[in-house]
Amino acid sequence: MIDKKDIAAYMSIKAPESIKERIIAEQSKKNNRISSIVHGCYAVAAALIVFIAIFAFLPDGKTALYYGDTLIDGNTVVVKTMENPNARIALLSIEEAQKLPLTIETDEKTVVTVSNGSILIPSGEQTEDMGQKIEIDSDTELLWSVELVSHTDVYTLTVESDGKKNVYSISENSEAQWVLLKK
Amino acid sequence: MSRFYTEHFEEIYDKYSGMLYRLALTHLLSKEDAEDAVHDVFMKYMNSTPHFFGSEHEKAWFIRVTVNQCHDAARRRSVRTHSPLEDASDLCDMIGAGEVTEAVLGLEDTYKTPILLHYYEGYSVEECARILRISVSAVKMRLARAREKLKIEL
Repeated sequence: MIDKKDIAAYMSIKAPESIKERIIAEQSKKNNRISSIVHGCYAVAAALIVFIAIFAFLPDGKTALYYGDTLIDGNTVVVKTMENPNARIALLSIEEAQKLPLTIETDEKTVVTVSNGSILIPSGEQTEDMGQKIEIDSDTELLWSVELVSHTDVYTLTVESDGKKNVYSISENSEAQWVLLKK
Repeated sequence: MSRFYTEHFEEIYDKYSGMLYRLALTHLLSKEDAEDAVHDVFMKYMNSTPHFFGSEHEKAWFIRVTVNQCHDAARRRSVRTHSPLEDASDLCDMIGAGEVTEAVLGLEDTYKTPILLHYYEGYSVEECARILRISVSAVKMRLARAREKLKIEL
């Protein structure tokens, strides 16, 4: 019924190469798209890691107080030692105001207040008396001018920013030393 | 696409593309439609990553998917510019086949497919049954009815 000539004619039909080329081109495009997406994900992940790392090591907005080059944070620093403690009892000693060199580190609006004395801001060769309260928004060197007279009193300096308050105090210890510490 | 399919694509394509294209062309009677159908079959193969129990299973999968693809393509065709018989005639002229093949190509798919698989592609009745997922007796019945129709036509 169906002769060999017809079968041979049928079998002579071959698939054009264009089908293969089309498939390969589409799969290559798809692989490039997937590859781009994968690379994109890696890039996003890397950026995220860098972002987190940066913010993990960035200052978190807290202020810091330095006496000279010493950070005041859980430690105590002696700012003055009485040369003759007994003289204070016997005589009304006249103490000169101490000008304590301080540096406030901050990167936001910060209010600095002292309980006694005043805050001086260096201005060239001079200093400017700012009173008992100043407002700063960046790292600032200042002098706390305070008379350390009463060995029973505690003199405080308060640094307030972003609703957080750090209080530093100066008081005399049992060794007749005036020490500055963070409360 | 997995590396396996990338590396083996050309091997698989060379193995089956001829047979699948012949089936698609004789079913759809259009080169463009046949190329699209074969393209779609191989894309399905690469994207669905089917698992086969052997080469016979693999071959049956390709043929069955191609036949189904042809059915879907025929349904999607909204306008035919030629009648099926004219398309069959053009194809036979093109490949140098005679009037018997022209008549075969004019049959409806239910009869055309087993005729092509058995008489042209050389599959046994049992193999046709496995490929088409019908019983051996169903294959035999369809072949018999196809022969009757061809006798009437010729």
